[in-house]
Amino acid sequence: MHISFRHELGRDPWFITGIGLGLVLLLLAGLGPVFSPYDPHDISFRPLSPPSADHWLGVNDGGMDIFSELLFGMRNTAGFGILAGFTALFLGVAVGLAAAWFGGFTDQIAMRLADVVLAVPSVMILIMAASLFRPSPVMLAVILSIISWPTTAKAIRSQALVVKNRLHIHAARQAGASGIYILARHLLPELFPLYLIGFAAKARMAMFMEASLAFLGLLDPARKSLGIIISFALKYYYMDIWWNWLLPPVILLSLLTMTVTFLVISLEKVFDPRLKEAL
Amino acid sequence: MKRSILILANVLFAVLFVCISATPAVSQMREIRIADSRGDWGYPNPFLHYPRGPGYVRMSWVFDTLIWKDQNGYIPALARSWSFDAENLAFTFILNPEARWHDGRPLTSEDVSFTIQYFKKYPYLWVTVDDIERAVAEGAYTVRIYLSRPYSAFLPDVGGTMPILPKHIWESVENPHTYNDPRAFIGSGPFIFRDFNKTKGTYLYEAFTDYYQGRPKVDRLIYVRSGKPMLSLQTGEADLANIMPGMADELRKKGMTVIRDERGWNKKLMINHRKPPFNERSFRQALAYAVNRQEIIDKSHLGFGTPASYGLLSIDHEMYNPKTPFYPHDAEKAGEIIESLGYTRGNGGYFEKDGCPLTFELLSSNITVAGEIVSDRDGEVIKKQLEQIGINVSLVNMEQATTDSRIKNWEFDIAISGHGGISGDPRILNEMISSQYGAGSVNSARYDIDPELNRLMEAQMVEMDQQKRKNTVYGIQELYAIDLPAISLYYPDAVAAYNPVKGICWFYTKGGISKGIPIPQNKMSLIK
Repeated sequence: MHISFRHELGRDPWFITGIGLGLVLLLLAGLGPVFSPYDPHDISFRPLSPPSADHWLGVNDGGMDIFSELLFGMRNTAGFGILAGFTALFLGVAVGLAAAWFGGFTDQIAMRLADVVLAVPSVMILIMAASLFRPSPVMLAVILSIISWPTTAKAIRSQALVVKNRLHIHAARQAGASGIYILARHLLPELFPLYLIGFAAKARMAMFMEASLAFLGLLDPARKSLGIIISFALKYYYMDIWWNWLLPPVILLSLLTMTVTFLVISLEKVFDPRLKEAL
Repeated sequence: MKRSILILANVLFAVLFVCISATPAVSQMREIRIADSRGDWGYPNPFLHYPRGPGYVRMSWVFDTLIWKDQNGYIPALARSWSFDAENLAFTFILNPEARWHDGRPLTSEDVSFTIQYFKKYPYLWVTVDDIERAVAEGAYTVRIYLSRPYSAFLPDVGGTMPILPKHIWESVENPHTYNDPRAFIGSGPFIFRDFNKTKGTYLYEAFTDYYQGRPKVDRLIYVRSGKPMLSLQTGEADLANIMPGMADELRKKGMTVIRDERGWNKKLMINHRKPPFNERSFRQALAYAVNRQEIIDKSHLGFGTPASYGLLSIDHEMYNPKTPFYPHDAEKAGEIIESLGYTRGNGGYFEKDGCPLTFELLSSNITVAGEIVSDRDGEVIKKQLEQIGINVSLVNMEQATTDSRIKNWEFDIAISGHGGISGDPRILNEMISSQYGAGSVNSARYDIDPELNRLMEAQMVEMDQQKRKNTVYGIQELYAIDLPAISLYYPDAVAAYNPVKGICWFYTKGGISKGIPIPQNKMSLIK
């Protein structure tokens, strides 16, 4: 990354807010089991107890500590997003770079495949897979990445085509550098900003998707997730539980997606000159 | 003066005209809306409705039976009177000559005898006509039904559940399960079926003004899908809804009338007793000891429920056997039984046998009383309880139709499901235990390997003396509770609320609608 980009990012309020929020949330998610006062599956507390010193956010209908549930739920939701984001990024980069580098038939096949996958409604595929085959969350994240790589691949390909024709790449070729060397030493690092944008966009979508599937009851109901916490809290909409039970997971889910959105906006603004002008 | 009188007369005429023209418009607006969280229960005819209580109830508005139930018990419906001739094993029904089909034709004894023949040829899963030898129309309004052998559940089953079909429509129908022509919904009930939107889960019925028991109290009956019964009642979107027990006080304060049912619906642990280790009776008993039912009620339903009898019949039933075997929660005993079956504790404290860990799948669905879909934690709590004694459980949550289908096809290990009918006629025992009686039911254990249990079930069906039948029913409950082909868990509190402003008094039927459906949508509420 160029020093000017780093400098520009460091001054960008979107980036500062996003990275700050992201670090706090990642810390909470990563160290959730350490912070968590109780086992989130422990059902030994008095159901629907209000918030107290022992239970900061109270106890849910099943006798479980809501704060502990939240920490584990956020960990699972964020973990799902990060896994799906990375896998989609890996696939997108691999296909995009291969298409740009080899060109011709490989490019045609890869891009037509991307067009086909883009035409597939990912929500429907995921709902069908979740309801018919009941795969594990890890497998679902992989399935999601398999149907969401094309946009990243297309972006990587178009940028790689530009870089591929630059003078230093031609010079490297003339100097006898192998294709793998050029890909690894030149193309991969130079496209770095696109990885961040691609990852962030996919991760945001995946987190929301995970929460939605859990909300619909399509994931293991015993697995904690922000979606399932919201789903159960809504069941008791007629009671005064919205502020301590319903609101926290909604806020956390919003913060998670907002964090990634801020980062995407910031990165796009810095690395895409046209967007920079628009903003 | 003359002019003033003329003006006054004109004004009076105008007021009178407005009143007269407005009256029918207001009358036409009289409608009742019922909220339901699932919505789609199939088309309301005997061959197309979903085989659960709410499906039957939607059909019951359109199709009448020979007799029916109100708050106090059986009352005349299409049959004005009925009698039993023990010597000839025959029931005689005198039909109401006022009864008409929705297309205006009179309903006669020919229709009744035709219905029985038709159901013999194309069985209707809710009714058994196997024990009927023949039905003879004796005149236009008298029908005599001869039995091939005594049938103790004849009245609730054939009399109170069997919808009568119009012969002039169905005699030419050879594939009733795909027949959904508008004529397939011509019945003799108080409402004419007008529309069903499968996607929205809404039903629209209109009053049958020539109904033989009198014009219904409302002109339109509408079912709307709503997962928020309290809001629906408060906003007027619905006039009647099943509610969670915790909502009762708040709704009372808002002026709604809250009604409670007896314990006529049970949540049940279905067991695939055809495959190991569930084919071992002692293993099933270990499961019964392992599951803490009171904890499920407390943690999943805020304490609103009662542990069920292991003998299936409701504890409110007059034939409930108080000496039915009982399995108090005892995790240690459950573990001992499993060990006696050759399992040993392996790594992580889970049981294993021949190197294979004791692992199975718990299929969970969210059905509750009245067919409502309410997410609960039953699966989560049971999984935890079983894991505490050393059984590794993977919990899978599925929507009800898929769960039903997997249970019916034996594609499961254990599953949480539930059904009503347990406060109705004890024939429910046969339907929920034996494949001979309940093969079509998604809730039947289809357990046929205990000859003594089979004998008792046969015996209760042919015993016309109610006291002797009671002894037999006692025996069935006892054996069922020992064999445990399925484990009854608890009776959730069944509560509904309605808006009294509409002038309709809804009620839960004692013993349930028809064969025991614990839903407060008895058509008599809208008739008399």
